Amino acid sequence: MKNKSLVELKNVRKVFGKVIALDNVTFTAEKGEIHGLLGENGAGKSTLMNILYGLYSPDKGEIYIDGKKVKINSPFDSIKLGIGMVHQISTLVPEFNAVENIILGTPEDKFKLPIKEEREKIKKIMKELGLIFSLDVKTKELPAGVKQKIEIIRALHKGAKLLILDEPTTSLVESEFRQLLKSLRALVKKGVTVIFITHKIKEIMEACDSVTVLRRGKVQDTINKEQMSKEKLVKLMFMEKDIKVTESALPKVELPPAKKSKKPVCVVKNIEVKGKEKSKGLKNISFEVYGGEILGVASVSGNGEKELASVMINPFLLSNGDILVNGESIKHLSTLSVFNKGVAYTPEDRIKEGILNEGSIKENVLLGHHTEKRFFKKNLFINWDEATKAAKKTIKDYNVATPSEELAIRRLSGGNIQKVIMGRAFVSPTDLLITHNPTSGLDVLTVEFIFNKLVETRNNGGAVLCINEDLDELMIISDRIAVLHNGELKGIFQRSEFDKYKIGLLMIGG
Amino acid sequence: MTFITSFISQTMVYATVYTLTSLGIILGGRTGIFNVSAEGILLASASTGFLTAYLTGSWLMGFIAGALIGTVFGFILAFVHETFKINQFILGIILVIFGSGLSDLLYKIIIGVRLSAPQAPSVPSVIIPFFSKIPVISGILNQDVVVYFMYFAVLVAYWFYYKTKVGLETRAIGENPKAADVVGVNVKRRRYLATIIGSALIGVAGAYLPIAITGTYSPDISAGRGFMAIGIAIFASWKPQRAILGGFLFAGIEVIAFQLKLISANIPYQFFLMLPFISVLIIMMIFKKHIEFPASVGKPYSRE
Repeated sequence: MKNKSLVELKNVRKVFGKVIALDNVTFTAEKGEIHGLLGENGAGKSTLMNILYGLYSPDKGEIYIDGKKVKINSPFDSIKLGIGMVHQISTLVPEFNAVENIILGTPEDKFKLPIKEEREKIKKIMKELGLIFSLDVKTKELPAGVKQKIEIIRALHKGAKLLILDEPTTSLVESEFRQLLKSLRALVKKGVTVIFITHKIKEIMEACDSVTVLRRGKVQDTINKEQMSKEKLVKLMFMEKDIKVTESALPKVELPPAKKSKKPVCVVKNIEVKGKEKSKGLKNISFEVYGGEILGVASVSGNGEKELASVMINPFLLSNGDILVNGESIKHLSTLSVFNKGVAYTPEDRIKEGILNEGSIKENVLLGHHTEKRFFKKNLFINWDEATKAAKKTIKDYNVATPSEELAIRRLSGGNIQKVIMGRAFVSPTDLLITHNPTSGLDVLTVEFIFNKLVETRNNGGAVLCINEDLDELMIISDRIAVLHNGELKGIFQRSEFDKYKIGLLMIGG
Repeated sequence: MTFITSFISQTMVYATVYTLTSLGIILGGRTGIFNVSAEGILLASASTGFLTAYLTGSWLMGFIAGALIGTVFGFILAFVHETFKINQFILGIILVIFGSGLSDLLYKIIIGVRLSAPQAPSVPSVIIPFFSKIPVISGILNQDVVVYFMYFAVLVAYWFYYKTKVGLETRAIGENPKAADVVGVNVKRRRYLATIIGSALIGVAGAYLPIAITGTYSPDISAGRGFMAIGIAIFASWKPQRAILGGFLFAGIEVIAFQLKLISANIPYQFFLMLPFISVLIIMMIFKKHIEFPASVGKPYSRE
């Protein structure tokens, strides 16, 4: 076999504190292919690529580019070697426009600022790839999809022959993903090699010519397109686990017939909410959620689902209408009082809204329950013994991978943070769970776990309102699906009527 | 007419102190290092600058000594922050106290107590023929070389930030250090350089106080101007071209307060000493909505 590999990482090892992030990893990407890097959260994908990009230095191991051994100490070195990387979280300067962001860091002409010439060069690259966006708007005003395009152009402008994309689809909708794929194909034709990091099997199957699967810091296998199958990839990702997956490579869960309560747990009556920024808010929405059912809310992001999630726990946002929980109006209650009525909430943005970053797991589990009697001594002091007990129980029931409940929560992976937030919702008896995008960015194994918890709640007679932008997921776990578009309720479907095409059309206003 | 001429002339002298100091703070802040220690640097460099000028008989040596002391402070600030990730504000306050103590100590060791204060050699003025004789305009033009150095420094800073790529990259560090890091900019090195050069500028401003304004050193000679300069940097949204406006504004208020003190005998003079600080507060409230802040100011940066 002819050796035409562009990149080779040999026997790479990286340890963070006591955690072995990468253990003797050897990785090869061939010239002119889209090479997938698949693994669950925390498998070491990003760490490996950050080493290649020079952001992390490996404890052991060698890097070869075009067969030559190289030393990469910082992105300065990797850029010179023709490596570009688009990170999971935007690394643009929000106050700069696209041109300023793209020309940042190019080595020549440090004491000039040739905006006009660079602009033409950038436009040419954009044209070749069919990527169109405004070059003059501050990037903080642009949606995530456009920011990503700018980062891709930035890498190419610096002469990247190898483009690393770290979880590029996290904030993209389906049509944007298609467009990204098209651009990547165009790039590959021009001889650029792409490394595509993801935890989604579906994307690997659609996008990649070959794939390397990582598991807990070790390489499982590298296989090419002909050998790929959903079952095989799932097996490689999780090894001992045997997960059933659906058509869209999501975990299957059983939804047994459950006893629906006679009276609804939650009644939403003609509510109106003013929208923030570009959103139109909510207009005259009414629905009921019964005990023993999961009501899914489907909407394209920005069509009122954020307002719906907020108003359910912060009724002061209501400009009209009423919300009843267990027959009582919560219209004039504070968020804390709403929680004390048996409502639990898991927010969309788990890092920004869900946790206190610097707090321990224990402290985070206590949040929202901190005024309940059993966590209070003499109505003044926190009962830490009880809090420890509750945290330990959450860690055990929700399989949170942590050495102790005293660990700062920010040190957990996204999946484990979400498990803590889910667990917190059930520290006290919960009649109504409101959950917003509970599985975004999580791997199949964690998604399956979260799904099962939601279904378990439902089977035990709880009511669940699941607001989720992923229709595939909603169709798996919902008893009914309500569709929001432009702040209006477009219809509610029973499980027997679920039709991806019909619901999808309503979601975009068709 | 002579009143206006002397008002302008005095304002420009104080504006030099304010502008150079806030420019120094801006340089650091634009890379994310908030130099709260300006007051300490002013004091330490005022003392060392004066002593050097007095002992060597050269005003220039005085300014060089002031800039060197600034460099040392800047290096300490950058090194301790970047290496140990110690909170910049605490570090800054410690340096203020250190600088204030150091300044008096050095003066007392070298000069001791004297009946008449020793005088520093004066700084030469730039004399432009003909124009220097016209009232008002002469107040603007008849200035010492350091005033012209201040103009030059502001111009260079403006050119650097808005007309060069290094400047663009430096601004990027202040907004999002990661963004600069991933495109190959050495964040740590830039932070060191900016903090050290900025502190050296503050050192020049410090040496200017005794050498050019009062002619001699006295304790607490900076009188809170290092803290006011922080206000100017913020008021200026960390832009050099606005810092000079802020410098003139604050200097003008200070000179007016000084003149009022001389003509009104019935009001306690402390009231006038307070005026500049009150004006800062009011100005900050008025301009609150127009103030921008580099997002990473005061925050440590590490990759992992």
